[in-house]
Amino acid sequence: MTALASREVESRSPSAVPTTLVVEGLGKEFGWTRVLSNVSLTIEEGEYVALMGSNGVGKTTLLRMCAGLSVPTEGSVSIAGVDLRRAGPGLRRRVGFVSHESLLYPDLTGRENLEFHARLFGVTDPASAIAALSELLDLDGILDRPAGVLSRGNRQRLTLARALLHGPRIVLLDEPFTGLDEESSDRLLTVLDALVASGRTVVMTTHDRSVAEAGPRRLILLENRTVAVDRELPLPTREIAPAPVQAPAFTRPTLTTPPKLFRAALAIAAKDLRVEFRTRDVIGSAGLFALAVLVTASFTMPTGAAASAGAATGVLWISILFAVLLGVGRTMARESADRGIEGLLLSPAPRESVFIGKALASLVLMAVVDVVIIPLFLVMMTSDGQGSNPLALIGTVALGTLGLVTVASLFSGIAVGSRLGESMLPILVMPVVIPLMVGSVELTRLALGAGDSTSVWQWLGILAGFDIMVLLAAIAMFSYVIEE
Amino acid sequence: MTQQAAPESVAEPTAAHSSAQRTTKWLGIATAVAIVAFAYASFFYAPEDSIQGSVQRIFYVHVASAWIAALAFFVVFAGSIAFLVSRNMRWDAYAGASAEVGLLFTTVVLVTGMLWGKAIWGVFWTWEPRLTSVLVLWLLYLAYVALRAYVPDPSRKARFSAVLGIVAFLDVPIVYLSVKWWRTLHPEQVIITEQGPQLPGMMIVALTVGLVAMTLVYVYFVRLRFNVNDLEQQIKREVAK
Repeated sequence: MTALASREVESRSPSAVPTTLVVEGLGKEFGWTRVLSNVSLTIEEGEYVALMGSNGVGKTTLLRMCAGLSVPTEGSVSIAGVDLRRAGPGLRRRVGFVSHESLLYPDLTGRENLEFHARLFGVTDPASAIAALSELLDLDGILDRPAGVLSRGNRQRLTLARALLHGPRIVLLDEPFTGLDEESSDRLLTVLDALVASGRTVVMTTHDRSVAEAGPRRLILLENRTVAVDRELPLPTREIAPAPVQAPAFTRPTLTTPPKLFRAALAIAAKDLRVEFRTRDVIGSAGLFALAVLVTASFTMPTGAAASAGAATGVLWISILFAVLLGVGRTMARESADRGIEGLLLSPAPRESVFIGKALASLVLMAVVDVVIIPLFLVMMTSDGQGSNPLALIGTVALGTLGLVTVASLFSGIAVGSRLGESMLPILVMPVVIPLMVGSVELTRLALGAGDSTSVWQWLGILAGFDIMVLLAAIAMFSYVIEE
Repeated sequence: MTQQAAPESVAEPTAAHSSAQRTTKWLGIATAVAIVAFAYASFFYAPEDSIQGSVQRIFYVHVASAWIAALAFFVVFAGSIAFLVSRNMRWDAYAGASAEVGLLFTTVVLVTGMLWGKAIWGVFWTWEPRLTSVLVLWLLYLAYVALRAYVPDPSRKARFSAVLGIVAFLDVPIVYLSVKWWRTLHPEQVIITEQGPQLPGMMIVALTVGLVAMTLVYVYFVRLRFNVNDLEQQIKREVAK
């Protein structure tokens, strides 16, 4: 199907095109290990499927590829006739995914988590959608508590609410009953029944046969990396769920056009800033770190007028660089630790918006650090400020910080995926930002009234050229960093 | 999407494998001959510099290695783009091999530059633009090679290093410009200027032989590294089964 035809399918209303899930010749390798081989199956709209198999057989991998979170090594997954690799944002709204991890931000309340995802998915009236889900999943009492303090069962309910918030046609659940007590399991089974009754497809992985027989009507068993059994199941035995159940009403929320690049980026940036407002760990650590570098270095520097024209500006930029490395590294590590980034990838938000949003939030945080550091630098390490140009200084700091944050944001995604984690970030960033550091130091000297002012445009060109180059490269390539 | 060929048995090389081994062997012989010719050209054929004396002969290895450092970096860049577009792991293997060989040649440029600098300027190191640019290039190569060492998953390693390879390559002209505007002690370009080549003919011949020899060394080393990577891959697949 061409990209144009794909967009046409995605733009139609969900009921216009059956949301059939087709897996063809699917295979996946992780490193040197093959996890899945030649998996082919078709799941029609409205089916209720249990995906079973022993530990490590590839159930989760298969489900993640169906959700578009993992790229197949070979074969394809298509939904409503559109290959997921060519799918636009519209198709992602047809899928809801409940992962092993909650994909929730622990420092935000349940309501804030849901509001954020509602915004990314283009839910017209988030408050009503959340209220409806609250009734369906009994979220009263947990919506206004931080997700990080909730029990496993309560967090699982919130996770399910996040996955259902946008009214997906296909709901994929990875071991959804793990850690749930009997009452929570019964409630979940009832909700899944309601989803199927409303015409939605439900596919869940489980290794518990009693769960598989309690609701699903089709069993797919994986063995030796492929489908070994694919058969219908008899009517539910309901050993673990009370039968018959009164299926709760499940209404589809109204959706508007999903946010475009900058609106999605703003939503992501606002979320990051809200998390930072709660924790203050980036500002606190990066700001104190920059301050410590500045103060420690000041004891090694000559004082007075000579310092402003000499190495003092270098010390300033080293302290800013260290602050950026620490702050941006922390922001990305926080996102990755909670697998929040997967929640973003499941949303219809353009991939580029993830980078722009995270870089934008980091830029705001680093600007706060700059506001603290620069006056201290001026007071402690320069002369009386005669001949300095405050506007030029602000401009230089802004351009320099932008470049540093851009490079650090791009490479922080790489660093957290490496064996060294955040420690890898300085190794990657420092060689690349050398021209930026040289230009920033030179321009800062000029802004302080030292040096040859005729070279200002050259250094400005270096800074602007660097910023533009890394911004374009980062926007174009960030999706390669975060895909699996 | 990654499309990898089915693993071949290590014990039973295919016809294509045997042919590749023959090509590598002949390439090695040609490289050895070229190195001998380069040694003769730079030490005996080229005339002694009237001002610098014999120490000027380091110029041939220095410039030829600098050319390979730049070529290798371009191959990393091109291989990275080709990998991201095609997802063919062979491109990643070429980029990775080129970076390792490029790191070796960049080290040669730095070491020969320092030795030459000590003889001519009296110091091993000076923060002179071209030397500084090569040092930054060396650091970029080092970061690239380190990244590959610290990401165990091959597909993730390929993606991550491709992104770094592209950004680093685009960064190099800006690095060069930023350090160029510092005062320089480095000799002005003497090989090709607006007035044409400024070196005596015999020196140009020696340099040309050096460029050909070093290019052959580069191609041979990349090929060897690529083959080693291939074997590594086969063994790891066998072990993972």
